[in-house]
Amino acid sequence: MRRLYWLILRAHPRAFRERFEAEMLCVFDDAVRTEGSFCLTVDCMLSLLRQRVFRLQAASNTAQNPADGPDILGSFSIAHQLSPLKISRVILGGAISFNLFIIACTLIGGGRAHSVQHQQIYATGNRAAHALSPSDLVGVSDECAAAITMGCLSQPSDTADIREKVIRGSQSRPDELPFPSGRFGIGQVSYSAVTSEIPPSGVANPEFKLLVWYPAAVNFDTSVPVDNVWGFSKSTGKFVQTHTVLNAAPAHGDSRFPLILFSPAGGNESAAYFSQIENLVSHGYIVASLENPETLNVISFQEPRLAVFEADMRRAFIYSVNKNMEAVLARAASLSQTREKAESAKLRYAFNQMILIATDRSQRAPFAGRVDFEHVGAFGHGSGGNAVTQFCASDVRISACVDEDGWAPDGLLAEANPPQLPRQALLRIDMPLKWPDEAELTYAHLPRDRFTRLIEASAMTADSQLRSLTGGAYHISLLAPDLNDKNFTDGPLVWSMKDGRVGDQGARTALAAINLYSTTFFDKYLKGRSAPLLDSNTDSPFSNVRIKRYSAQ
Amino acid sequence: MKPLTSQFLPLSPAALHILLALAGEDRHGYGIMREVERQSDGQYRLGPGTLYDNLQRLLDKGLVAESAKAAAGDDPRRRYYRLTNLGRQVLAAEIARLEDMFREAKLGLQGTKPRST
Repeated sequence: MRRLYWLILRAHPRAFRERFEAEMLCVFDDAVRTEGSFCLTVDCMLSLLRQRVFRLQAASNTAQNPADGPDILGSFSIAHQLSPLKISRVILGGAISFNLFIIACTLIGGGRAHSVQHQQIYATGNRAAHALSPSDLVGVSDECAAAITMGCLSQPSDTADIREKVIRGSQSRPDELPFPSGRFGIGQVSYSAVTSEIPPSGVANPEFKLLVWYPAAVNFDTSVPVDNVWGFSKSTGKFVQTHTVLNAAPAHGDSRFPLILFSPAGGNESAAYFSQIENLVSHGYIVASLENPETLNVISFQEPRLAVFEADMRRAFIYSVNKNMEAVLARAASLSQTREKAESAKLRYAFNQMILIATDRSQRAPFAGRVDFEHVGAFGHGSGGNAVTQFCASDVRISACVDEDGWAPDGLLAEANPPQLPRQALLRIDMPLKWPDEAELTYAHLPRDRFTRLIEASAMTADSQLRSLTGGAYHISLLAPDLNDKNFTDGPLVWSMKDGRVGDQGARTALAAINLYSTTFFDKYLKGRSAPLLDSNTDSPFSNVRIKRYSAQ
Repeated sequence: MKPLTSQFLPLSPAALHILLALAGEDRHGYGIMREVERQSDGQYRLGPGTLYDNLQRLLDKGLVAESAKAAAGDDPRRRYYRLTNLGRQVLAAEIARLEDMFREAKLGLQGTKPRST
C-alpha cells in the first residue's frame, strides 16, 4: 500500500509533488498504524483529485489574470474555486483517481499487497501505469540490454554465455579490478560529518565520512579512474586500478536511481569492496556508506590512528584476559550487539544525510534530484550483514536487504531475542566456514564439540528465522572449498595480483557470482524485474552454488 | 478601505484548524494532524492529503511559513511550520468573525423563543 500511496503522490502536479512528496510519505509512515493504510490512500486519491481538478484550474486562472488572483485564491471557500471549473479537468482528475482506485482494489483483492506485485505493474507497463507520464515511473527502461543479469535475459539457456561474459569481462588488465557488468560509468564523491547521533560503540571520534558512488557519464579516454589503496594492500604499497572517477558528471538524463546503503565488515573500509560497489552502480544504483576512522582495524596513511573498538573486540577473545570461556563468549556477544546497534544507526544516519544532501540545492551534489528514495536497499558483509538485518527490521523505508556472511550465535542478529525481524525481502549469501584447527582451538581454550554446537545452533536458528520472514528470503551458499568470508572483499584477488598476473581465478569467479546474485536480487525488489535466476530452477551460470528459497508469509 | 485580513475570510474549516494548531507552537505535518484531532476531541480529523493541500495555499498566501525548528534525531523529511504575523492576524480576524456570527445566532435563537405571558 505504501508503494501505491507513493504512486498516487507521483501523479500529483509537479509543483505540489516537489514541495510535499517526501513529507507526505513521512506522515504516511507516522500515521499508518493509527489511521490505516487504506484510509490514507483514499485521502491521497482525494488530494490528487483536488489538485488536478481545482488547483491547476485556479493556478491557471491566476496566471492568466494576476489581478484576480488574490480574490479567487484568497478565500478558502470551495465554492469560490468551483465556479471557473472546466469539465475536462473533472474528467481528467476523475479518470486518474478511478484508475488508481482500480489498482488499489486489485492489490487489496489479491490478498498480498506485496511490493513485488506492485513493481511488476510498473515493469509490465499495464494500463494503469500508462495512465501516468512515463517520466513519473522509475527504473522501467534503462540498462537492460547491457546488463548481464539473468533478470534481463529471456532464455535460461543463456547461462553458459553469461558465465563466459562474466569471466571474460572481468579480465581487463593485470592490476585492474573486475570490470563492472552494467552500462553506467561510476562517479564518487564524499562528505564529512560530525555527529553525536550514532549511539556509543566505543567510538571516541565523532567524525564520519559519507562516501557516495553514483552512475556517471564517464569517458575513460579522458577520465582518470582512482587508484585504490586500502587495508591489506597498503602494507605492500600496492595500487589497484578501479573504474571510479572522483567527482564525475552524473549520468545523462533525468532518471532516478534506487539507493543502496552499505555496511562493511568490522574493521574493513568500504574501499575493500570496490568490485561489488562498482558493479551495483554500473547497473543504475547509487551506493552510500558511512565510515568512521576508529572502527577500522587498519591505520590510514593520511591519518594514523589506532582502532579502539577493534582492539576491544580482539581483547575479548584472549583467554588469559577473561580466564574462562563463558566470559569470553559473553563479552564477545556483548561487543557484537553494541557494534550491531552502532552500525545500524550509521546506516540510518547515512540514509538521512543522503536525503538532506540530495534535496539541498546549495550542496550541488552530482546526484541531486537523481536518487529514488522510494526504492532503497541495504547490504552489508560480516557484522555489517547483521547490522543491515537489524536496520531493515527497524526502518520500513528499506525495501530489500542483503546479508553477506553475517554470523551470530543467535542466528541472523547479534541481538538475542530481537523484538522483530525484517519484513522486507532478504537475501543471505554465505561461504564455507573455515573450521579452526586444533592449535587455534587450544589457543582459544574452546573445545571442538562446543565450537561445533555453537555453529550448528546458529545455523538452525538462522534457518528458522529466514523461514519466518514475512517478506520472503533467499539463502545462497557458494560452496567452492577454497572460498572463505574474505572472498566478499577484493582482498584475495588483490593479494594474488603479483608479477603481472591477473590474480586468482577463483576469487574473480566468486566476486562475479556475488555480483550476479545481489544485482539480480536488487533488480527484482528495487526495479520490479523478474528474476528467474532466483525464482526458477534455472541452472546457475556458476558451479557449486546452492539456492534455498523461503516464500513470503 | 477593507482591512488586509478581510480578503482571506472566511477560512475553510481545514484552514482554520491548521492555523489554530500552529497558534501554540511550530509543528510538523503529523504534529498538526494530531493537534487538530486533540483540539476537536477527535471530531475533526485531517488526512495528509487535505492537510498539505491546505498548507500549500496557506504557504502561498503567506499565512504560514516554514520554521527552522527541528528536533535532534528527527526524520530529515520532516519540515516544521509556523504562523506568520499575517497568519496570526487572519486567525484573530476569523475568530472575531465567528464570535460575531455566534452572537447574532444566539440573539436570533432568543428571538424565536415563545414569549412568556
